[in-house]
Amino acid sequence: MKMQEEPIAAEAAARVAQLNVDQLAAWISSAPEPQRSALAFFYLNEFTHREMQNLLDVKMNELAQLISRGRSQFQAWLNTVTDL
Amino acid sequence: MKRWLTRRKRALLECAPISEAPPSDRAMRSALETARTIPEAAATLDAQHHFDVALAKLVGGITIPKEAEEWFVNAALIKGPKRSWKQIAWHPAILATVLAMMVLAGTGFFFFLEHLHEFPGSATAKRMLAVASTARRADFETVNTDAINLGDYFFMKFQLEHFDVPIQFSDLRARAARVFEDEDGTRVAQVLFAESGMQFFLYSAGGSELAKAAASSTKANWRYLESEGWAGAIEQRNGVCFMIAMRGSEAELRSYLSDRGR
Repeated sequence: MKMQEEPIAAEAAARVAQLNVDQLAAWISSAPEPQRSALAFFYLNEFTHREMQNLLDVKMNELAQLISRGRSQFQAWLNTVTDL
Repeated sequence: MKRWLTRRKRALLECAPISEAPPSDRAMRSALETARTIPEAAATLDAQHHFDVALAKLVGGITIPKEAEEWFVNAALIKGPKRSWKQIAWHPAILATVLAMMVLAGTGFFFFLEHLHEFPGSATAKRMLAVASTARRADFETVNTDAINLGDYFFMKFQLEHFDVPIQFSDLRARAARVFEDEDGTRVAQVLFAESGMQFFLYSAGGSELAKAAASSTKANWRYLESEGWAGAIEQRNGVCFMIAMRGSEAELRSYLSDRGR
């Protein structure tokens, strides 16, 4: 299923603050691989981009695309589940 | 959105670290620095950073299941221990590179020192030293006279004007002399002396390499060279180049000329 994508909004941080941990965990676990792992590694904030490339066995551009699309998709989902 | 950056930098910025600490990766640092100089890119990067910080904060609150914890430990192992600068310095590849650079630098320094001793025509002057080292008495004409008379000898016999030996060597006893042509066709006078291993070369200071060698020296300063056990000193006087060749080192020749100059 193709997921909706939206550019990062200025009020995104405020919207994220409305979420609870379980909602986020549910969204991440529903993401397809390797995007799920890429987002998990990235937001764990423990790995450099090179380490993530090694762990996921992807090139730099692929990793960037996985994270970028993950952000856009998360923003689109965020817009539907939160209010301002 | 960041079309003003290269594709590689755009990719790096998508993975920009969430923490405020400067990244250890040089390429990432460069990409971030470039983006911060462009207002549009800086604004986009700022929005992305706020988004990532908020999300990372939320992710930090997720409880990792026990069965997944072990997996994260293994993932951490993949990172490997951070190497200290000493470990990096002793890495064979680094050592080999450093050694290779030292050898290159040493070779370069050696050639630089060699070059310091050279002067215009020094290659030809070295050939004169080779001529001196291979000179055979049989190729010369016996003269058996004081050096002061050599000027007249060369003029009378070979029509070579001003081929006078400098006054400080006038008392030396010349045993044999000859005139030959060097590679440029310049006529060179060569003199053997009673003093063992001492020879003089005289030639016109024209445009030849030999003349350049002598012209590069002043009256007060001899230009020295050394080759295959022989040392040479060149100077120019009255349009004639004078070279003294002596068996031994440059230091010995310098000492000899210093004594003669007194």
